[in-house]
Amino acid sequence: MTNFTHKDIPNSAGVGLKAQHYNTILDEKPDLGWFEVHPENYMGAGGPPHKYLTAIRELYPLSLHGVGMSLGSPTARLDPEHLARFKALVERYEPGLISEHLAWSTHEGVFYNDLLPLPYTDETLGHLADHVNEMQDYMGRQVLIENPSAYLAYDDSPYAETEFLRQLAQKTGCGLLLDVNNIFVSASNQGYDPYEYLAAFPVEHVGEIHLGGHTVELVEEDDKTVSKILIDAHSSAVVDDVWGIYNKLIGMIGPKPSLMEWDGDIPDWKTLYAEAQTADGFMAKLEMKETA
Amino acid sequence: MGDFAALHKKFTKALLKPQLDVPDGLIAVKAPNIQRRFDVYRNNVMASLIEALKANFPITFALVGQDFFNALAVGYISENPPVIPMLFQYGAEFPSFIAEYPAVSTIPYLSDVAQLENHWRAAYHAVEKQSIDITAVQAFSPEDQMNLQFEIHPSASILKSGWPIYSIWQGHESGDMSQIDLEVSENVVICRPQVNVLLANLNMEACVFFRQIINGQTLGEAYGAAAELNEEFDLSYSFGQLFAMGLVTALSVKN
Repeated sequence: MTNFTHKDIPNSAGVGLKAQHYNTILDEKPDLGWFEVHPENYMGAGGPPHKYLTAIRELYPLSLHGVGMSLGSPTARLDPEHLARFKALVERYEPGLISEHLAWSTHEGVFYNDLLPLPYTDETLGHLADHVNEMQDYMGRQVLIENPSAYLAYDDSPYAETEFLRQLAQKTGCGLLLDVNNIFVSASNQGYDPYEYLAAFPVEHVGEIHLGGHTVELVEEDDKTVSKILIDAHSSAVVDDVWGIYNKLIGMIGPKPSLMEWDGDIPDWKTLYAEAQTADGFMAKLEMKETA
Repeated sequence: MGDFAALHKKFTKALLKPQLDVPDGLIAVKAPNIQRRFDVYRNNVMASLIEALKANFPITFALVGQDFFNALAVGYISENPPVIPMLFQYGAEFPSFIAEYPAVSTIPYLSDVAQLENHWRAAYHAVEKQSIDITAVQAFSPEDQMNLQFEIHPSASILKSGWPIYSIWQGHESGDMSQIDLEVSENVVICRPQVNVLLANLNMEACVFFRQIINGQTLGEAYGAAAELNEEFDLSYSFGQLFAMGLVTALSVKN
């Protein structure tokens, strides 16, 4: 097995790695800052997934973005087996960043494969902080926590999401992963201004940005009104409104590792790469402005 | 945990049960249709798990088509939701669920095909190990050779079936299912010595031979069991196949 040394994720665009693109990436060795994977897809003992990931890790820095830790579950401790599997991948691939979600996905041993919402209360904050601390202690390093996309809210949820994340970062020393598509989706679904959310967000803790597409569904509210629900589907290109939020964000904090996520209806490598280059273009323009 | 644990329980209970009401304590901000918004979570869960099963059982899917597969998947997910977040392992009980699914009685081989896909995936994700070449046998004296025991590759397994599962697998690979004789029973050996998962069709006596070898019997014992079933058992062919499939990772002589 190859022994990798730590390689930081650069302040540039990366792409969510898909099996469909393994061979193109290894053949063309595209000029790109980094890749990200869901560790859950690489928790088998061996086989082609590890072979390809190893070959790609030899060429690029890698980030591990977990979807299965269920940090928001109301359990006393995290699943020790899942922690061990995650850590084995951290040791094997020496990722530049590791991240997880402000969400839960497991209940009483059942894995629901979705990032489900939690209320933002003192109770859940204390609990989430314990879980983030547990994960960081186990991994021996900082974890970034991502803001969710929301379709509903809890009635009793006294903290704003931005304040909840600020306190979580202060209590645990975790970093934050800010998904700008999620800001747009949640803001639209919950009727607030995405730029107000951004202004309130503790951006000083942001270590990574996610970009992705969403779909729009129409909902009959009653006999007279139809409204839109935005769904965080990751199956299309980033829309201009989301690029606008992204541009504003990097204007506030400078270039950051910026990931293009595209998980459904996966396009050819060229299309995905072009999206990543758009993000790099925004960051380059920003640097030109600064030097001018 | 207090309040949230109760909310959490209600939320999850309603996720996989569309007949249940949206749990209390949730609001759709500035919009009345809370049901439709809760359904986004329900749909995300169900659709993503159906996709996971479809990815894990591509031949089963191809044999029954989208609508039938979705019905099977929804039934399976409701009874056997995943218990670990590695979805490439999801579906261990799918073959037995299929076997008991009433509408499958017209496709009686479907359960065995799904089982073959579980074996295929287990081989695909198995730990790597170097197989050895048949020439390694030459290091042993002719007397010792019949007492050889074989260390077996971690990806190797055998599946016995009363249906032509090898032909169905091959037909799916080649895109031509028209030549499959459903009267035939087939047994398959599966192994992944390198990148590709290899499958071979074994006749009854070869299947006995492979099973004995995998279970730790000596070459002589395995040969005896296969020859007892059919005295025309072709030892040199099966012995060659054992190595050609990459099943053997080490040899030793039983004392």
